Amino acid sequence: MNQHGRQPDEPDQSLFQDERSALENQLDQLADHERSSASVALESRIMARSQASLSHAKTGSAAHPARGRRLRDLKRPHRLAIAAGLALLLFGGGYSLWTSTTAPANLPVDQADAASLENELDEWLDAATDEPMVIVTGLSELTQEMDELQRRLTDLWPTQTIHFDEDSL
Amino acid sequence: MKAPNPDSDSFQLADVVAQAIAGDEAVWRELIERYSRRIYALIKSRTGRDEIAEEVTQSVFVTVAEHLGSGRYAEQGKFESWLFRIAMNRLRDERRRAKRSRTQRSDFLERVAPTPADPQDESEQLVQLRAALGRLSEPDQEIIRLRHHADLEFRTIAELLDEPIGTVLARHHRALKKLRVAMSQTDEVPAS
Repeated sequence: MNQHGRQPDEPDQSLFQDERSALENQLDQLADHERSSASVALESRIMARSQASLSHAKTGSAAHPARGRRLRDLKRPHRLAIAAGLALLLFGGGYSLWTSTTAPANLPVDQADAASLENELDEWLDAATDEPMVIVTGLSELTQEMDELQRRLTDLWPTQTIHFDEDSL
Repeated sequence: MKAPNPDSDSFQLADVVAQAIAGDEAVWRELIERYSRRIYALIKSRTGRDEIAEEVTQSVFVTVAEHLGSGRYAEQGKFESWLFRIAMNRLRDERRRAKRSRTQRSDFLERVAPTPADPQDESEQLVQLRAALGRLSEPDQEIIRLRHHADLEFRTIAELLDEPIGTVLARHHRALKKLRVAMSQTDEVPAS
């Protein structure tokens, strides 16, 4: 058994058994090092960020009220920008994303915002009643991903129209 | 040392998850404390970036909380494999995002390489081990990280990867062998 006390459920291999145990202990040390490198505030940050979702279980409300109100207050182009942001989140940069308005969705999607953006979009999609359209335009790279992008967005957004127009730039 | 009873552990975990689903914030905090750093280590090990590991770890728990809170999760005794599957999916999304970004491509390659934030805090042995691990194939790295960084039982890894446990055991064994070879090659490289 290694230092973590896991069960010895690996196969009995006499070959390099001693070396194996030593190597596994080194790996566990490396893993401990990675775990301890996390911020001391990691757990409290997670708690703060996830509390609204958990409190929903207590109240039994149909949606997360605070976040839902915030999303409903957004103008339609901004909502669409969120949808486009999800596409950016899922498939990366390197191409442009436009909404059905004439203005480009200038998406300030950075690493720190990515997950919260996805969560917000998820909630907005549940509440969306209009029929927005997302036009995704871009570079040749996008062509290769178009089918996959459409599939992923359609899965998330089955009742809405998603249009891909590579030439509209 | 007496090995933990997996069935008993699963039962207790199912109980804890049920209380979290009922909205018990103290229990939810317990789950965060139990798993967050294991997820963090899994992501950090693969990306080499503290900020990405923190963001992905937070987003995993937000997703889990939303599923628990909305009733979309049904406890079937597979909470751990579900939780870490979400983490692995997030990691793949992050890697895909980085790969697709031209401006971040070289940045991503740097991440793949072992680049600890502060190597002075680490022993030479850990630095070499991380470097050797980074030279293994993606599947070999995956099985080692799930076992050691995520600290998962083999049966949980088998559930997560949807593979027979025998396959998982063999994969882990082969990966360790390759890691041993990679470590010996590291030893042979003279310091510059």
